[in-house]
Amino acid sequence: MRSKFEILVISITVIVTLILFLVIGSMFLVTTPQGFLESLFSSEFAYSIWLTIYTSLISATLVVICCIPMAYSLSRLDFPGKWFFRIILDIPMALPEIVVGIALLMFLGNYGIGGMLDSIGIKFVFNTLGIIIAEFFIALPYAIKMLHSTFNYIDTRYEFVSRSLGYSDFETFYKITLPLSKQGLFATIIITLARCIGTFAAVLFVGGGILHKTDTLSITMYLHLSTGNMDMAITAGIVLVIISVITIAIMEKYAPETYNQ
Amino acid sequence: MNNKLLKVDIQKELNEFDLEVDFELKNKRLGILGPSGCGKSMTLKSIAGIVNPDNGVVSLNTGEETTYFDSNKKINLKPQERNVGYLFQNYALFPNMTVEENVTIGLSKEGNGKKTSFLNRFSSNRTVKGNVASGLSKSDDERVAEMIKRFHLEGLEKRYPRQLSGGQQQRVALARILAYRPDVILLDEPFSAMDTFLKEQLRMELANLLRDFDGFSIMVTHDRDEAFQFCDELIILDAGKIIAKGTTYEIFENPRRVEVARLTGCKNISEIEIIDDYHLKSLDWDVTFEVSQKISPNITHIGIRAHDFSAAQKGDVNVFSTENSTVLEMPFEWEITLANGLWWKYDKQIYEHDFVIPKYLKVDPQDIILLEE
Repeated sequence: MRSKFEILVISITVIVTLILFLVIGSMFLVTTPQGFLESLFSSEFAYSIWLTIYTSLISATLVVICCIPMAYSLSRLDFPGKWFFRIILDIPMALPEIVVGIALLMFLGNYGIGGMLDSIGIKFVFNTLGIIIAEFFIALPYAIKMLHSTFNYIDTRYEFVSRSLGYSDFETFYKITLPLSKQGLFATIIITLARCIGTFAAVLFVGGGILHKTDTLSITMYLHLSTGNMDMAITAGIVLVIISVITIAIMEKYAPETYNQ
Repeated sequence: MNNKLLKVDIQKELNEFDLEVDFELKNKRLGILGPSGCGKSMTLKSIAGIVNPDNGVVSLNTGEETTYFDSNKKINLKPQERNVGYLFQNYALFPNMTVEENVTIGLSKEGNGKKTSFLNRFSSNRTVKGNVASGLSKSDDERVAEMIKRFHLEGLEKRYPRQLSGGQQQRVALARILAYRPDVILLDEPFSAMDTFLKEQLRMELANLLRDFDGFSIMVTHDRDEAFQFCDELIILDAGKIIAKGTTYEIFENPRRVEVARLTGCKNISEIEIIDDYHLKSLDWDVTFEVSQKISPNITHIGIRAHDFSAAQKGDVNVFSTENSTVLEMPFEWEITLANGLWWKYDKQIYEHDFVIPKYLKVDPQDIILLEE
């Protein structure tokens, strides 16, 4: 016999989860299968999917390349003003995405360094480069946070032992720290990819939200929603849901085993 | 072992106190005994290079002198440049590596000056699983097999640390350290957090091994049995300062100071009032004792080991009544707490279950340890 408390907490879990499931599921009912398929195989949609995958692969790769040394130095090393860097890196997480987007637009656009760069022929905004930059800055703080706690979780004694056995700092990092953080690193990569794919407001501002040019899936969804093309909008939404389900499934299935002693 | 010398003289400011440790080690096995948080582990970590002292020198002479640390000369070798093995509590075996790989990782960097470039070995041996085994020549493989055999790990080569028993884990950790051929092995409370049975078994193995090891070993512990078993020489550390230094036998026989007596396992310690040159009164137990040594004025306490009492008649020297005592039965000894707080231990056979406390107990004047605060 379950206690009232147990029944209460289980009920809350079940009800809220079911509502969430209904909300997501109802999207599948808005469009007809025919409308869905037509939208899915339209050339505009193909471009949008391609752009989304292409930009998020690049930005996620850049994020992972940057977040490994950054998370490591924040977790393991001491340097002057470390607290300051930690706060700066945490700020974007607390900020609404749209603020990051506007800030990036100001900085990279004509108000900031944009005008200067424009004169030598480099443009950071309203193009693919802008999308990648926006996705990078949105996903980076989360990636650092995740990997930072992964590194923190690894017992530093392993690293001490490795050094005392003659291995340099880099060898120790490569042979001990990195393999031990395999699971966290894997999760970081998947979540980063998911975040890059799903970035919206920042991509809208820095990329400009131009149809057929800078419309990633979430932008496509937004643009078609505002023009009343429900089939296209909902199809983009459904594809985004499918991508996240695949992401979670990959995480569950292929996450490397932990080495709990 | 003859001409080797390990010199340690370090100071470091810590939160609660300043650590000041200096000693020269010629004998093989040193113990650092002290309560938790006295700076023992910090000393060990300074020798290993994991922690940097504020001031001082750490140097090792094994025929030629290697300075590990010297604050004046601005020398500070990294842990990987010191030939020192560190045995952690619970051993810190690499959980992502098999037994074989754990041993190999010690072997592949063995001995200073024999280091091959990591990147070279990596690129030429990409196919070897786990990268760890990479770069080992045939003879290295044989040496791993040798270590596996020497530490009785045959059949366990492909297992991961979590699949090993405590004893097997210790052997892997030792094989890993010894494969590296260190000049000094540092042992950081290797047996704490272990159940009694396993502890006793592992102590035996480790004691045998350290006896055969041709180098220095320094063990940090708060356990007097371990200190006694493993160490030729002892340093007693309290709040960052050395309060006693000497051979293990000397320190156990004549602790001289209250804290040392306590750490070497003296159960009965009391503050005293000196009556005359050979008599004193214990303030805690309310008994007057005669001692065999002249009492110098700086003596403030006495200690009596729990085994040093014996049955007596009224009128004997250093005698007191045992009225209102409590008896606790252990498998091989009786533990008696007297009404005045004194603690007596008396050996027994496992089948004896009845014990009549003698009406009076005494302690030989020779067995009263005079202590300074």
